[in-house]
Amino acid sequence: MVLLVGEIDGKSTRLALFTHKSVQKKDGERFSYAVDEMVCSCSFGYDGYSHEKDNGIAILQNLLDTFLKNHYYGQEIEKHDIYGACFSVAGTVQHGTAEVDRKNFKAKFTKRDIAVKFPSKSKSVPVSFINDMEAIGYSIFLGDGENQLDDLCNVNVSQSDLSKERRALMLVSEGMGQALWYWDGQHGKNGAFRPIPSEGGHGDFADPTPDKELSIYLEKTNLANGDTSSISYEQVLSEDGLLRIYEFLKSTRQYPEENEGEIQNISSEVIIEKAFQAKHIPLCKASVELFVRIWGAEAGNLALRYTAIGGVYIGGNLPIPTDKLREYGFEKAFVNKEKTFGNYNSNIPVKVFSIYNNPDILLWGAARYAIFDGYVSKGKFAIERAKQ
Amino acid sequence: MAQSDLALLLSQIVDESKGDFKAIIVFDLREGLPMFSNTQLKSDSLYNALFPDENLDTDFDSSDLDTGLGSLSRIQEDLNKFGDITKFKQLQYSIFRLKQGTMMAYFDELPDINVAICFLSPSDINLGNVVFQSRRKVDQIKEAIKRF
Repeated sequence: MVLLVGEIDGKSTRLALFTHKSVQKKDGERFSYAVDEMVCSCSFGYDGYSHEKDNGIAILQNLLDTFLKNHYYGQEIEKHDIYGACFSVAGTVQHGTAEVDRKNFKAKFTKRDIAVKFPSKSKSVPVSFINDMEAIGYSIFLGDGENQLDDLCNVNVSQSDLSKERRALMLVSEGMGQALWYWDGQHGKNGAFRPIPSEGGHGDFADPTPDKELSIYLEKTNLANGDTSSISYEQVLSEDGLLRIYEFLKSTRQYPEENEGEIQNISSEVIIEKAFQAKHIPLCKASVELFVRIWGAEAGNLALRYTAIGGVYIGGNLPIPTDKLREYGFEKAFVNKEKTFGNYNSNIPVKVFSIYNNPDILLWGAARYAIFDGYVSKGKFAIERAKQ
Repeated sequence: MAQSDLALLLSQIVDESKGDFKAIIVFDLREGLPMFSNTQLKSDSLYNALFPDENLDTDFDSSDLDTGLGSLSRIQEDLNKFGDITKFKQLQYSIFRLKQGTMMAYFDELPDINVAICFLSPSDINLGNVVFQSRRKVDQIKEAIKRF
């Protein structure tokens, strides 16, 4: 039996098949299931589809058809029934309906829209959508995902003492997401961490520059585009946010002008690359430094807001290595809090995940969620019902 | 497609009960969602009520179905706790008398979910006989589920 897993976002849809395995529990008698391996995967862009003409559901169904035709039907793996499916979605998920609303791809779809494309025996198997932030969390907090992360701030507390303490997750990528993860003893058979999402990324930005020059610059830029709303954290802590910081620092004229042709096609990745190279560009380095300081301060705020003594988990798809986060002052900003709260934060572990270095993290999270949620047994029963 | 041993066993138990069992249904205990039943039930309106999303032409999503049996999970936990304290040990089964029928629920643990195996009987049955028959058969059902 195999599990169908997907990652649907505004740029592409990635589909994969996973297997599971039995794992002996510590009591020696009972066993549970865990994700075994990703058998195959394929990424599809939306090129070739016209979003004025093609609706998003039809595009997704077309991609599913193509994937199953190329990787399942007629292959050795077809002898294994598909017993369930779970999709990480870069958008909202409510009451079994998912919605992606990005420039290049818009779709609002239900489980039924997806299941209708499954092989006939598998049309009633469990299907679910989870938000991409949730998928990252499940990838980390189910299975052994937590052990694979880098420690950014080492604390003098045993990890086993924190095994059920609250955690905060902060994702910095195209946008910025924040979520609380708490231990729910009633979740699954033996309890697990569950998320409480937030829209904290849209909260007002607290500017650390001496005279709030960054906020003033961003307000002026937004105003020029007719936007009078306040500056959010997401406008600063995101891929585009790093670009805005770069443009702001450039506007101060405190850094040497770049040489002709030194930077082409500026992007967040280019800024990071130029900041870390041996002969670094000072403006790029300063941009990443300010970005990391803001990130550390807001991660520290999150630790306080959620009393997340189990840890703050940060990461995203920007290629900033853990040692650079450390070197550029993340930890210093994390613990720079009033009264005794700096000390409070210094006892909170900070761990780093990376989508950039682990591009399968969302797929693994969706797969782990499905296995944890009993899809093996639920799917088997659904397939047997179809045979009745 | 060949039916599984479990499907054949449930059908056989219902046939042999001579009307004492109207249906045998396996529920996912946490969500209270039905997962499997004896084959005869497929021609009964009860099946459509319990598995409304089998027909892909409808817009119903099975996760919207609330059978109310999710609370059995809590009953099992609470009575197991009571059994531990009083040394009466674990809950073995529960009997629910409804106005138009009786349900006996047995509990089982699979590697990833807990299930309730429910025997549904019409109201005019001999309860002692039904209890005797279900207790005799439930271990066979549990074995068939394990081999699934």
